[in-house]
Amino acid sequence: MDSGVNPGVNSGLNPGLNPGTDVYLAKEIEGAIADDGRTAELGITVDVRAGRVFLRGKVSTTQRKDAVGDVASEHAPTHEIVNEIHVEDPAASASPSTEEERIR
Amino acid sequence: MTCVAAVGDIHLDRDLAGHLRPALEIATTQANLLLVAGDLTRHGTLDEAEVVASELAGLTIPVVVVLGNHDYHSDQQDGVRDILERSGIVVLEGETFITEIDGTTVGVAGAKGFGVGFAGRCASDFGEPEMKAFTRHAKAAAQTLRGALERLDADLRIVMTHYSPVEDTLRGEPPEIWPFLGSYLLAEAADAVGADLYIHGHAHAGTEQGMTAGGISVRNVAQPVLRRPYALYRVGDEASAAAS
Repeated sequence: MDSGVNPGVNSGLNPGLNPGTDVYLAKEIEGAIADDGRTAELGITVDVRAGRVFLRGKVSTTQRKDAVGDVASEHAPTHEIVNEIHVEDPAASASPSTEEERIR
Repeated sequence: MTCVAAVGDIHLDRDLAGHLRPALEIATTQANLLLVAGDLTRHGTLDEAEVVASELAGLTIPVVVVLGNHDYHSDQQDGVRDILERSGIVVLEGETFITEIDGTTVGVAGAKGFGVGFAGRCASDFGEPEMKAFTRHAKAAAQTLRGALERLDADLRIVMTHYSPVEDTLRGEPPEIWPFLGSYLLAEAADAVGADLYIHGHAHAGTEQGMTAGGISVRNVAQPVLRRPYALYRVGDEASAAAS
């Protein structure tokens, strides 16, 4: 579900209250997380608030979570990265399906 | 009994090698067929395809897949397909697969599909070349699916794409991106020919259950939606009789 949209704005924004530009930085980071070969994650939400970058969503491994944080940090080097991504691997953490659904 | 195990968006890479296999071994004791609805890899590399092949090959039930947009990302989709097929995995892009289960023929028509949006809120074949190319690819994808369905001669008919045919199973995703997640043209193709079940993936934040305008049950089996290794669906007259 990659729209291919990357606003491509300046990533060297000063941290602080920049509500007018924070949204562009957030979208730039979202695009980078989707496009970067280390991450290729399309379901991560990025919010920039008061000089901090908040990362939210789900990935399958701790390594993938850390990689998203690294990419975000590279695009917002002066911001604090708050990595709230949840690690969830449905293939490993859940027991296999035992219930069938009957399709009518 | 016809029981189908289905999952999509498994996004395998070296770091997840071996994760899914134990669950799939159990699936072979529960289902007659395993369907994987695209986005098998993260970036569509040949290396990742080898991981997918190791994970899915050699199961005791047929494994039928379609590719997703991630599997095209490195422009190596033909190589990805070749690796999977050499491992005995059935890859569908406008083709069909038929197997016999307890005297019943069960068929799958599959293709990647594409986005374009949904009736009243979709891209149109108008304007810039890029917009026309986008829309025409969506039309061609739907036509590819319809062609496969028209050739599918089976008692039970299952459709599988990566992209969604309906809005129902996208609920949970931001509506603004629905045109990139699915296409009503896919539902139109399925409804024109008819099917017993429609499987898709792609929408990680979507909803599992939906239905086409023509009454075909649609299931979004993206693994983040299922939150389990796979879903099990019983299809056919026996299922209807048991439920009534």
